[in-house]
Amino acid sequence: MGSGGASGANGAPGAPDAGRNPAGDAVMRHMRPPERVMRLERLGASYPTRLSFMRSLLRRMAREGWRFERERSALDAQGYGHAVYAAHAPGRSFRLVVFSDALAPEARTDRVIAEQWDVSFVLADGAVADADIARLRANVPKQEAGRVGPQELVLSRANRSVRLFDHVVERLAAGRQPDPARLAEVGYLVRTTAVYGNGKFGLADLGRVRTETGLERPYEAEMLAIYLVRWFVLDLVEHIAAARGGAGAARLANPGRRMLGIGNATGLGMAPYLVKHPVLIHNWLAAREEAFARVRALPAAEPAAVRRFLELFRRAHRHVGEWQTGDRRFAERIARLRAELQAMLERLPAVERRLLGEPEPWDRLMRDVEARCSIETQELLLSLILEPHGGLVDELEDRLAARTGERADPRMSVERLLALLDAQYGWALRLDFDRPDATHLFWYYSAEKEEPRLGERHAEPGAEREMRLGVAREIQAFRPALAAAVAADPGRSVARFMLEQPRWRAIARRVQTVAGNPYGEIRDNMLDRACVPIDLLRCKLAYFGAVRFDPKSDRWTRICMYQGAPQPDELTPATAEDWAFPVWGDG
Amino acid sequence: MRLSANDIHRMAQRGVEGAGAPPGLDVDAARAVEWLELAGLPGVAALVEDLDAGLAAPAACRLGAETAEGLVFAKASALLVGAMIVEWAVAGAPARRNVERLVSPMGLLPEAEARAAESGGLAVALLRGTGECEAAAGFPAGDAAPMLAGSWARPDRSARRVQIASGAEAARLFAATASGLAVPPAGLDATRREHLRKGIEMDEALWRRLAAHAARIFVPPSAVSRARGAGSGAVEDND
Repeated sequence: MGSGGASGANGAPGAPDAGRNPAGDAVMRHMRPPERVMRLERLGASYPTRLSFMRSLLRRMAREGWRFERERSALDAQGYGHAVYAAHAPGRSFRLVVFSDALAPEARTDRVIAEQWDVSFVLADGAVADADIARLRANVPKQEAGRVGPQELVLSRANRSVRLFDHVVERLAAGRQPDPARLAEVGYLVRTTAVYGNGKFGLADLGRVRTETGLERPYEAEMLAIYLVRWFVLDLVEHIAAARGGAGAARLANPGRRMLGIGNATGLGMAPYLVKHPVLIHNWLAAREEAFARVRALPAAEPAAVRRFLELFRRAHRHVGEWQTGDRRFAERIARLRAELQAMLERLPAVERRLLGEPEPWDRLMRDVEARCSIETQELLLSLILEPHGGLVDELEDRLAARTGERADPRMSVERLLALLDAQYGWALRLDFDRPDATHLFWYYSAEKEEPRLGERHAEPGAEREMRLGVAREIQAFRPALAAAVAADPGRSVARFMLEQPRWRAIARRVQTVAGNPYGEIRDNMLDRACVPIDLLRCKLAYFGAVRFDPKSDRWTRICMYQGAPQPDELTPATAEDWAFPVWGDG
Repeated sequence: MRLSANDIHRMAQRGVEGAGAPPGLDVDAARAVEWLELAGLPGVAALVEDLDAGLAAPAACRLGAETAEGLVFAKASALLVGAMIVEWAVAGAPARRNVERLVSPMGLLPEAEARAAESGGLAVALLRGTGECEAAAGFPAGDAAPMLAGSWARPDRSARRVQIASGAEAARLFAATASGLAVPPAGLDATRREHLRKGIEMDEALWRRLAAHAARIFVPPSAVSRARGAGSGAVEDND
């Protein structure tokens, strides 16, 4: 992906590799162009797909026959203490070392500025000795204030759901199952906040994780840690219930056992990532778009794929029906989504006939959806039509990682650079930065735990230290300087230009990088009053595989991870495949 | 204290940004310092010295002049401008080019390795005022290991001229300059693997000096920013 000059019949740059896919030209024709895909409104309607990291990890673990083991549990009757869980991959093993501590209710908060948590944990590479546990005990509960070592891959923490945790313990202790309605309303027993990897606070660097642990795909270590802590949390509630209820205590049954995921509160910290890593984001989006295009390019639909699609459509319809949010604006979007899915459900026999009888039926279906339906429905259908086509698209999960960052092309002429800028950034050049609303917002790091925050430029101090996320504004500032350089000497190299005017180093390199990675640039103004940060969050969270997106404001959201996923003792290739759009009613 | 490469990368990037460098040079410097520390070279110490000396200022990062022999800076840190210099060197003829008045010349090495494959190999030599070679580095284009020789860590103060060569000229430059220079006992790749596995030892006082530069990018909190800046409130975020 990502050849700078190639384009398909619809003008979509970054053509798929025709050599790798025999139907390359047909796929190109169906690629949605970056100017359509890379808008916040559409990114903010992203759904998990079978290429999402959690889905990919579970398929891998099942395929490779990973074994899972409870190695140690040193919890008191209240569930405080520590435990160790092992995941044995071929030739390697990983350990979740988790600490459960008492936490006063007034100290419980999801903000990064919190200092204590109910649960804290690391994912370690290899075996963990008693001395390691002592060292981790002294540091892991402190999180950012502690230090871990290069044998530890992931550091994280979680808080109990006040709404649900105690209810589940009480019911199980009494020998009863929890109230299904309360389980479905919350969806998780604990909720993580930050999940750290890649060398933060002394953790193993990404370079070592990739080359020495076998966890090569994006966020594989993090997703593994969350999967294991989900298992621990189920054990935790059952442990406490058994301590209280004795022999009469119950174990959590399905659907709760499978449907309870790990919640997460995601705030602004994740948002700058989608701007700062254009090569990686291009890889993610381009892989998904090529998967989508491959299915749309199919000349006919296999009956088994159609059956599977219809089955999953009905499940997704019920999944959306169970989706709850307290955010008024988002509730309106979900209401429209439900109505559109209902209308489609009523037409499903006709949909089936068309899929089985018409040429390029998946493309025809999507054209129909694109003409009739909201962006939410369009993006959900994208996810659905990928599901039956694992054999066609799953290989694209190998393209998700980025081996390089932004890279300058020093030999390029300034004339060529200006042409690339004009070709790619017309959207930025058309923005009116004389409007006060166009620069209403500024992104910055607070001195408090280096937490990313969003400020209002004309109402708060600090804009002089803002993060450099205003790509559109920078493009407008850059163009006159570049045009002047072209006028003076069009053949001058970009290398020479940057030496003379280092002020433009970052934006010049970005223009060159995006030319080869066109799905890596969000084509909206990140500083505008209308910018909704959770659109960024939802996109990245969808790539993780998170569901139950539930905005609490325009700056943070709750989601649920691994909802519906098989527990370690039920993980097989079949169960690893079939947990998309989980529904409580399925049991 | 023991740090990860990413710890070093992040702090270096923030330190250079906090010191006022043009956008993009913070990323270049962070990559360079991380590379150097993994290679066992004192990248953080050199960066702190250069930041303290005001070399992140935009004027210090700008090219002074280009002559027939090469580039001349007023006084620039190769940790900040080194990537751009190597890019210039590979962007066109001649195959051997000079750069004058650089401090922390080891800042050229990371980009030299990164560009070696596309250039048919790269070599960098640090020369004293007398013309003698103080340090040399060779980055072959193929699978052959990179080679460092001489005193990159603490070069003689008179060593301010750098030669950069690409392609076949790179092999000639390295052969001519490296002979007689001390070679580190462990190869570069082995040193990097060791540091990735075990972490990198760092002087705490030095780290605090870098952190002081980095702290300039942070905005002091206020009641408004705590309440609204990150989105979630003190009460409703807890269910």
